[in-house]
Amino acid sequence: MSAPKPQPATPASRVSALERQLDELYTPQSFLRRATSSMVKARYPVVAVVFLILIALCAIFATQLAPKDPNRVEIFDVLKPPLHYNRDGELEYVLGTDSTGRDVLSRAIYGARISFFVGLAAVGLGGGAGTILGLTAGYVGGRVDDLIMRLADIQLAYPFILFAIMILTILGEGVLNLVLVLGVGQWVTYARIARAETLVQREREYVEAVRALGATEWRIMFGAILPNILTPLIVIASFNVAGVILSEASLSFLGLGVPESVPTWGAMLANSRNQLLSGSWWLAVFPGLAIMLTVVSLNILGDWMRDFMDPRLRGSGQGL
Amino acid sequence: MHKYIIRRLLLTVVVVLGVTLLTFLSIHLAGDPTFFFVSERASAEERAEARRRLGFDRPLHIQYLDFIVNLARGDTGNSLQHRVPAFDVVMERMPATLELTICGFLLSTIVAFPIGVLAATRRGTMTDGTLMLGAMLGQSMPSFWLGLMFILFFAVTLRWMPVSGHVAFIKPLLEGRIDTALANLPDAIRYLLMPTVAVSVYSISRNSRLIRSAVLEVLRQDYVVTARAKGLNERAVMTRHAIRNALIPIVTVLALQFAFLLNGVIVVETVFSWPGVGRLVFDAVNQRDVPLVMTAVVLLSFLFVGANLIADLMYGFLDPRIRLE
Repeated sequence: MSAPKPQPATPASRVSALERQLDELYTPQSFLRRATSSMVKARYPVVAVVFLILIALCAIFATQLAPKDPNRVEIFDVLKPPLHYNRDGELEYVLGTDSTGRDVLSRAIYGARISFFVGLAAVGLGGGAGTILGLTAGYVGGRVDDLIMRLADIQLAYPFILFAIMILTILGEGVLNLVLVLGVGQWVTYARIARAETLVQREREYVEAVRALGATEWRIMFGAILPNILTPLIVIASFNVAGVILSEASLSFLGLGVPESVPTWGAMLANSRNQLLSGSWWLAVFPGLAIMLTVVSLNILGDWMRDFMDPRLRGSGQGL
Repeated sequence: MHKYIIRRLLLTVVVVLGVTLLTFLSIHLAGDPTFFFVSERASAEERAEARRRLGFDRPLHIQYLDFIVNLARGDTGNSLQHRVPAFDVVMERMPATLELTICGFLLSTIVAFPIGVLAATRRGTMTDGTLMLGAMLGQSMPSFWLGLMFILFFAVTLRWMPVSGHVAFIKPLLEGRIDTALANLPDAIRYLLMPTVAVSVYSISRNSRLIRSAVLEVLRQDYVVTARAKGLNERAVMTRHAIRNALIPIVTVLALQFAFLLNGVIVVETVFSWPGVGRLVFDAVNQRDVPLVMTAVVLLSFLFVGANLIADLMYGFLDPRIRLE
């Protein structure tokens, strides 16, 4: 070891300024500021966020926002096209009505509820379970690792739609069952990434240091390693919500998942199929647009988040 | 290499066994398999008799082992609904599903490749921006919705395309009736067109984004700079140096895409009344047709696992540095 070269004395004022800057990097306020400025610079994510907030508001305040009861059948107002005025000259059905006279706009607003709730809950469930399993597999290794990763292989060999059809037929309809099935469908991605990251982090010096300080294995796994593997997982999760919303729509379209009385975008599309030949385009166009705009917003947000939070993943196609 | 292939094949068997066990347990949890087999008015004795005759009264593990042993012998048992061998019922529908999956796979690969490479070479230009925006949108549309939109536009409004239906091509081909297959071809393509595009738009978008970033990654490498520096023209740099090396990550994703496509196909089949396995499995689960569900799941998961195995083996072929041990 050679002796350190004599450094020119740094003025104390500059040192403290540097320290302040470093501190600022890690305050929540500065994080938010950096996030906002990066988002504004990229432009598209701002539009995406605004749209998602609108959809979220629709989901939360559906009862107040929907002009009509989404399940109310009006046999005299069957298959009215969009912008339908009633006899008094009032705009009654903005997006038209379906084959039983239910208001498409109200159903679409209520549909946001299921998509949002199921998307977030399933990703939370699958992401949480997958992360814990992957972390355990990577940290403990050996038999546990083998068991968890073989389970993951089996799951990957199982065409998801078949799996969902089987489980939903057995468990029956219900939002929670849908969340469960979609959540189980997601865990493998998180488990694989969490495991790979854990294998790297496990060997790092800080883990050694925490262990030397006498931390329990539990504490090392969840206190030391977990925070350091979270970034890629959060990025994946943001794309995953979009994927789950698409899957939920597919399952609803197949008539699986939630009871008929709960309006969902997928089920609206399923009902539209029989009306296509009669030219009732609005039944198929609007729910589909709702799905597409929500999913595209989530994808744009995910892209931005990946670039912002984890530049290593940029362009890797991870999670897309 | 041989060792690796053998190990991978063994692992495949383990995985497929795992899939069958999961399926077996869940469909038995779903309730009495004879429920839909005998008449609703059947007495308890008649029901018990049916259970005994079909072997559902035996302990579950015996039933499962029995299924596996018979499967190894090529006997899948009779479908409860159709009362003919379950294997035949699935194979009757499988060609239609394969037609759609293979066409979707080919289309998504063929289209995504030029898009991805073009976007990468024109990075940061209008072309790149437009292509990637399109890819972002394509990746956000449910395939079944796209199918509905195609029907609405091309079949109902313009009347260019048939609304739904299917003309067999692979099936007569497999049965050796080549004349019939060829005679069917033009119509088969007409019916295939809309479902194929609907199924593959998602994959096209995803693949072209991935191909773009894989090519960009390679273009940053030193050997590409060297190739340019020694005066190779851009075409040679791209084909011989860049694309060949970018293929490795691409191939993996393409194989995974195959599995993904199969999921989409099962849903899109419903939109176009396509006579494939998707609807078959759906009905079979609803009717608790145990042998039929098991057979379909085994065959589909073999397809899945097979695609992944091919991807793994292609790895070593494309990049001799990767040694599969």
